[in-house]
Amino acid sequence: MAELLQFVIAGLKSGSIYALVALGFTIVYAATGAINFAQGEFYMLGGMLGVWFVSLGLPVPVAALCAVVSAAAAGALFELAAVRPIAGGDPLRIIIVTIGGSVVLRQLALHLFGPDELTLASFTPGPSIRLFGAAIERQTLWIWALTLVAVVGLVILYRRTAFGKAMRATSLRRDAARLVGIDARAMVTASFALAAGLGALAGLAVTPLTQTAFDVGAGIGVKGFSAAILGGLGNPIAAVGGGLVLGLLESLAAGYLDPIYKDAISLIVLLAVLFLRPQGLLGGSGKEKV
Amino acid sequence: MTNSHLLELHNVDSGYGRTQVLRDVSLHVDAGELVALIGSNGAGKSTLLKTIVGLLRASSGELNLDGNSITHMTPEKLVRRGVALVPEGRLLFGPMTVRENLELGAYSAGARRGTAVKDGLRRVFELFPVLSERASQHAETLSGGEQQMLAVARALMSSPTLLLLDEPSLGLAPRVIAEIFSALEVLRREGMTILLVEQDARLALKHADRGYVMRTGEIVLEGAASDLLTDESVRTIYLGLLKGEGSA
Ligand SMILES: Nc1ncnc2c1ncn2[C@@H]1O[C@H](COP(=O)(O)OP(=O)(O)O)[C@@H](O)[C@H]1O
Ligand SMILES: [Mg+2]
Repeated sequence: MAELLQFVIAGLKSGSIYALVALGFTIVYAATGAINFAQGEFYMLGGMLGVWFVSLGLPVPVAALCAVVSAAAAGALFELAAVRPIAGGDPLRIIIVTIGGSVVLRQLALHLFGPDELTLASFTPGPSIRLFGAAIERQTLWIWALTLVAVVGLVILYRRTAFGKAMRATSLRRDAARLVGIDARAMVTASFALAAGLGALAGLAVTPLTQTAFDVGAGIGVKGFSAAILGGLGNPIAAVGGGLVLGLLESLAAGYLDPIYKDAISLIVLLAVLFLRPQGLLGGSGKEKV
Repeated sequence: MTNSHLLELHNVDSGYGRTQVLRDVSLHVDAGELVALIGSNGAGKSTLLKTIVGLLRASSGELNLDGNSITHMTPEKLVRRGVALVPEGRLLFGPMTVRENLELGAYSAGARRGTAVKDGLRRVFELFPVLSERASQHAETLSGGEQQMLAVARALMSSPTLLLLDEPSLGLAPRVIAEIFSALEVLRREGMTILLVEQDARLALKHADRGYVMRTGEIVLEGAASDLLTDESVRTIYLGLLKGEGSA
């Protein structure tokens, strides 16, 4: 029982991380109809920038905020300087630009931060918390709390604010959105920034547990993409569900079968969904993309 | 050269990529007028409206609004200059509520959005009372007629001086069409300038001051609406439309 609980805790921990990265995929997909293959690199940037800001002497909360905001700015810059001029609005071209962009961002990180693994101190130091014989690291609580805040914040943005509704309107009916005065291209920039910020938040929150390096983006990109696909790519809430389910599957497979299955799970999920149900497992009608 | 026209097009060419649709189109709409643009399916009426609002770029020619060039202006800028389009097919934000659609209609008001929404809602609910009953329903659950009313209302939320409508009667029952056109009459009496695109020539000309007839991307005839209604060639086109149901 304690063992199962431990696996579930571990699954929900990585699942939350996958959920944040998956949210980034769905947000850019809603705005452009394209997959942003550079999404994992912003996860990497979150951790790397966090480490860098801490090394400048900033307290952890301030460094974390600076890291997420700079990564979001980098996402906006990436869209303005590369995606928009090179790809225009064509989804296939956007995909190609983001693949190219991911290589550039990785090399840039290698030059700026070096090849070594880096780490951050836990946000709040202290021993793990015991729960029915299982242990929860304090940083895991931070991951859950930050994921919850991000998801609730996103729901408020999309459902309650004029800006968020303008983003939804643009993804539903681009021409109609322009006709009421929404700058549709600015909404695309905003979605890249938002996706980058969420990815960075995930990379930052997980760094005290896993360490980070310039090349962690590709791996998490596959996980986040699988989670988004599992959720149907269409719906942010389903993407969060996809992330949690993927995390749980991985953890249970690694725990009860063999640890070697852990990384295979996301690929199996990806292939299974693509073959069995191209519209995703958790996605509903898929009519509204955000 | 008069400067008094609200909207003026001079020798406008436009189309989609390399496909040219509009050829040398010139027309004008004066403040307070209701002008009808008629022509059969595929004549280029929608292309013309999309070019006016900037969804398409004119490849040559000039467009002026109130004497100022709007030739390469984007739709999001043009709505702030007082031009609103009720697009063909309505293009509502289907999974959003009626109220959200209307609020988005006032998006261009920016910082004054709060007041714009309040005033706008009062006005469009007065014009289309059924929308206030449906305010919290998703737009996609509305009937065709209600959706068209919402499309008109959404455009009105930006307080336009020039309202462009693309086939507001399409696919609707006569009773609903009458309701929409009586709303247009109300707007007219309030001084709104309207450019109305219709396939139903008789309906459009009955309500209009002037009209233009379009065929294969060109304006082939223009004049007072009452003259066009009795014009032999317009009657032919209009009747041709009826016959064309089977032969086109
Ligand atoms: N998106 C498009 N791409 C290419 N050609 C188009 C497009 N939309 C319309 N057309 C063509 O432009 C011409 C005029 O169409 P349109 O302006 O929609 O006519 P109308 O509104 O008068 O029925 C038609 O020949 C049509 O096939
Ligand atoms: Mg048309």
